[in-house]
Formats: sequence, C-alpha cells, structure tokens
Amino acid sequence: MRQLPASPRRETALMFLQRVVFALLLSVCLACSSGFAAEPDSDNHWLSRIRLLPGEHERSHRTVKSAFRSVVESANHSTVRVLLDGLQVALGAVVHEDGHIVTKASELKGPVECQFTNGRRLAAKLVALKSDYDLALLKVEGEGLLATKWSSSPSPTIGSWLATSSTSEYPTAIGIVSANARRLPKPRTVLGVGLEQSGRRVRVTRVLVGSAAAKAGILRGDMIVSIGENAMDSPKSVSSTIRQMLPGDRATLIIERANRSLSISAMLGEASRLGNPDQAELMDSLGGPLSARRVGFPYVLQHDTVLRPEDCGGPLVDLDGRVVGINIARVSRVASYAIPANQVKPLVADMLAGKYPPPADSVASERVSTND
Amino acid sequence: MSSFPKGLTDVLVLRDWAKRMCLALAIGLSFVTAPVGLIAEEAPTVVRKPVINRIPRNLDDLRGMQTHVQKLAEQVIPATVAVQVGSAQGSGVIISADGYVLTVAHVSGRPGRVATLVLHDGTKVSGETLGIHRTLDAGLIKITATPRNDEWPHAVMGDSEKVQPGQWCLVTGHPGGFEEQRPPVLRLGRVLAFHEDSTINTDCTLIGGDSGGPLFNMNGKVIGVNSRIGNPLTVNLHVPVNVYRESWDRLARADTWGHEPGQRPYIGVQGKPEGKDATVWRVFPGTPAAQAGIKPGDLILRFGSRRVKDFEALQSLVRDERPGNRIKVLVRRGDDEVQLEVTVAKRPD
Repeated sequence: MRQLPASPRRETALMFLQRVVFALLLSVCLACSSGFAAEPDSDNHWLSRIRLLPGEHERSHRTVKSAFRSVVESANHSTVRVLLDGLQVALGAVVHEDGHIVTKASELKGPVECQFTNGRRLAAKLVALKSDYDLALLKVEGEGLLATKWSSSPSPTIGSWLATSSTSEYPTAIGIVSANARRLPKPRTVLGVGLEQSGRRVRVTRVLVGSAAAKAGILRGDMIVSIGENAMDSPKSVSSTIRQMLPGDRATLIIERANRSLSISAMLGEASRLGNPDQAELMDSLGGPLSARRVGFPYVLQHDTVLRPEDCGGPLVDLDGRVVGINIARVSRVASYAIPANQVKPLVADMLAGKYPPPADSVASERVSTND
Repeated sequence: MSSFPKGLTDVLVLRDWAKRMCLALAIGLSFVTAPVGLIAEEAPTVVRKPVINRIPRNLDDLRGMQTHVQKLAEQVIPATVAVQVGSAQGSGVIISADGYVLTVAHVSGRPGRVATLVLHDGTKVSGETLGIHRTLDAGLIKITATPRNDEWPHAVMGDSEKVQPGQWCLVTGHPGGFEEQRPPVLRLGRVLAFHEDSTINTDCTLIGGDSGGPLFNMNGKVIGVNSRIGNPLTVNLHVPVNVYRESWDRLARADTWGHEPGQRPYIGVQGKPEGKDATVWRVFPGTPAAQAGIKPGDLILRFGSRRVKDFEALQSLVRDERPGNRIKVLVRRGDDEVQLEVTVAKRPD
C-alpha cells in the first residue's frame, strides 16, 4: 500500500489526511484465472444451460437489454446524440417540441450538432447554462419534435430498474437505483499542500504525494503569492480560495521560488474519504473512463448503470417509460449519477424563460467547459 | 499492492469464446437429437421458472423482478455495516441476532482489536475483531455493544455450493468509504463464474470500501463476501460464504492462519518420496531451513507448538504460516533433541 512520505516531526500533530489503508486489494492474475476450470458436464447439464443462459452470463447481455425495448421506445424518440466534430460527446433530452434540448454542459467544448433517431442532424445553439448542475439548454431549428415525458412520481426507490435511452431500438444501458435521491455534501476541493504563515506571505511546508500540487510541480519552500486575481496573505486565504472552486477546476498560482516568480496552473483535486490521492486515482482508473466533471452536483439519483462519459446528458427512464432523471456523470467504477426529474423540470422552465444565459465570453455554442 | 492482472482480460475473453463455441456445438447437437429441454421451453403447458431464476424477457418479467429486488433491498441494507479497524475501512454484514459480522481478513486484521461499525441508519457501535483466514481473505467480527430489542438486524448465510453462473445477485457495501447520509449502496448483477474453493466472480461492481460487504442471492441469503477486483468491470471477486461456515470454529475462537495472496510461505526442506515420517531428506541452500541449521537426516518432531507426524503434516503447518514468522522447531539428530528457530520466508516465484 502506498504511504504518505514520512515526516517525523509532523507525523502525528499536523496530518490533515487520515492514514487509511485502502481496504481492497487488487486481484492477482494467476490466482483468479486458475479458478476458471472447465465445468464438469453431461449433455443434460449443457442443455439446461442453454435454456437459462443463451450466451454470456453478464447482466447487460443483449437478451436482458432486449426486454427493455418497450420501456425506452417513447423516450428514444426524445433522445439525441450530441456530436462535436461528428463524434458523440453526450446524449441529450428534447424538453420542448420547438427544439429545446437539455444536455451535459461541460462536454460542450465547441459548436455541436444534435442527431435524432431518424438520423437527422441539426446544428445547435447554446441558450442557457447552470454550472452547479452542469446542465445546458441547446436550441435546434426544428418543430413538432417529441418532448420527454417526465415522471411526476417521487424519485424511484432503491432496487428499481432504470434504463438509459438511446437513438436506436435498445437502451444504451440498464441498471438499478443504488441509493435514494439525495443532496450531496459540497466537495472538499484541495490543492494538497501544508502551509504556514511566513511574515505576510504563505510558504508551502509540504506537498502531498500524487496531489494536485504535486502534479502541477509545486515544491516545498515555494511561496504562494496569488491565486487567480487574489493575493494570498495567509494560509486561510489560500484554503478558502481553493474551497470556493470545484475539483477539476484550474487554478493559476503565482509562486515565488528562489527569488524567481513562476506561474503555475494546477488542476484542483478532491479530498477523498479513503486513502491518499494516489490511491484515489488508482481506484478511479479501474474499469472504464469517468466523466471529467463528476463532482459538485447539488442533488443526485445514484444508480449502478455502466455508462461511458459520452452516454451522459440524456434521459433516464423507469419501467413506465417516464423520465426520472437526466444522466449527468459516470462517477466511479460503481456509480453513475442522474439529476432527478423534480430538480430538472423547474430548472428547464427557468432556462426556457431566459434565466442562466451562458457567460458573456462564451459565444453561443462555444466553449462552456470549466475543465481542461 | 499487487500489479494489475494484465493477462486477465485475455483469459476471460478466451474462456468466453471457448464457451460460445461449445454452446454453438451443443445447440447444433440439440437440434439433431430433439431434446425435451429446448423444445419444452416453447410448449405452452410448461410453467416458466420464476423470473428471478432466469432472464427477464418482457415488461411483465421486469416488473416482477423489480418488485422482488425492491423488497430484498429493504431486508439486506439494514444488515450491512461500515467497518473501521485502525486505519482500515471497509464493510461487513451482520449474520446473527447476537451480532457476528462477516468481513474480510484485510479489513479486520489481527484479532482482539476494537472495530467501529456503522449501521445503515448511521448508528455507531463497537465490536471486536476475531479470527482471520488470510489465504481466503475471510474475517470475523463480533459486535460488543448491546442491541436494542435484544437483536441486531441481520441476514442469514446461504450455501455457496449451490451458486450457479448466470444467477442474479445483489451486493451492498460502502464504496469509497462511509459517507454520511448515504446508506449502504445496492448493486445488481449476475454470477459470471465460480470456483468452489476460492472465489465467486460477479459483475456487481466493487471498489475500495466495499471489502467485507455481502453478496446476496435472490432469496436474500449471503452467498459471498466482497474481496478483490481486477481492472475489467466484470472482475469482482467474493469469498464464498461456505468458507466462513467451514472455518467457523477457528474464526470464532480468534485463530489466524494462512497467508496473503502472493505471499506463499516456505522453509526449504524436502522429505523422502514415500517417506513415513518427517525426516528431512534435503535442505536447499540459502533457504530459511538452511539458515536455521536444519540438516538432512534431522527428524522434525515439533513445528511451533504442534507435533509433526509426517512430512505432509509439516507442509500443512508451514502453509498456515506467513513470511516473517519465527517458529521454534524441535528435531531429533542422532540421539539428541535439538531446538532450532526458523524464519519462514516467501516462496520465490
């Protein structure tokens, strides 16, 4: 297991990260592959397996997804693929028949097109942006489009089936509700440094292995002069500035090192509940890509559907075919988040009424992402 | 930590391909011999298996399965706990009214330590770590607090011998560590493969913090305990619950035995083929046995506190140790009894 670098003087007193052991080992290749011995079988055994298991055993096997075709049929007609330079970067949900579409804002890194189930592609304009939810409202020139049928029930309970719509016959993916819709605690945004007051300035006393600071090249002994527009005159000013940003945001720091002034850009991290930043990053890398913006949502419905980042932004439906949420992120190996319908609906109404225009410096349909 | 199992994806892909070929062959054969099974499936008079025992094929099936899983969720989540022992964090499952908690060895660690357990509603209770089977990663904890209403919410152990590939299963646990306001997180999947003595492989995804949490069958019985993952999303490995059943007495009396994965112990002696006792035939140079001064011809009488009756018994005793353990060995050499000390090492690859 990785350990924090030993610093005897400060070991017990100043540690601000818990020394936790990541309580999950990685499987050793040989140990588990030896388990896949050929099953003993008779003719009867093979035949009974054919009846129960045509093909693979996985839960997302085509046969299982097939059962959901009627579930997603209606929602699929309200679903679009959001394309950037012809490549899918997100899905989207038609929220008004006049061509307004909701999608995941941070994936819109340039002018996009929306592609419908009939294959038709329409250029889209960015109309509104709510960055805490990472939701954007697009407008295409279309009419008589099919708007999503929102669920008016309370959020589905743990264990309920969920299907993510697509522009084809089948769902994009299926899963179940893992935890009831809930308010998320604000993420703790961190740089990963220990600081002390040095006269009227701030000195870096340690840099956490694998942290945002380490990756950006900040060194022990550096003086942090400013972050963005703000001059730093105390450790508290550094932490409160950082806390106001989100993990994944870029902070520009002016550093003084050996009488030279340096500008350093750091992509901020999140204090994880388990392990040091290295271990957190290791866990993030196991089993498929995660959405770039996957933290800081105010309210989410958590489910176990396996989504690719480019599958987010579109409708999530229950067995009645009603839209219970908009998928907003692939968060980890075990979780995807959706913004529940009862949060999205009022937001969309506000956006349609002209609220949350995109920032002035982003020309309609231009760069909206806050992440690099 | 051990390195990524780079070859594992290839192993899985090959295995699935091989199975598909076999299935294709079997389907071909089945049409030739017109077996009752395949055709009976289509006959309207045959009663279908309950949906939880097969794949859902339509909306009715999905609704039936959903109702079942929603009900199970209400039973299994309250039995799931977050576990903290020292700096290790993971999960566990209460399997008896008096508060025995199944977890994994790499969470509970040494016996006799204080464990803090968090129930599904956020209540914190104390427990004590009991025994561990390091090789198979099984661990046991006992809640030491007194329950309200004389009984802890709990699940029941099932029989992992009955586990079948393809069967539906559920997992709970605390992925990423315990989070306030977030109860144990439910996931649904299917058993992909099962090797009886070592691990159950499912596609219920797991991540750090889930270790020690339960794997349930569709009857809500615990059939496994979350242990390890591999890089692919489909490699999620669980300790079969029968390991706990079979080792129950040792776990409950706080025994510790076995070794961590990749840490196979050895001392470096060889017995005579078809030898009747634990006479050392060969001592390999540079090994713990050589360093301890064991010589060919020595008859091993005791290994640690245990009498050694033959070489096989000695091997079994060594297997229960871990690299680094210092063991007193009593040998007969000629007319003398000599006491030696051997430091068990990791078997070289």
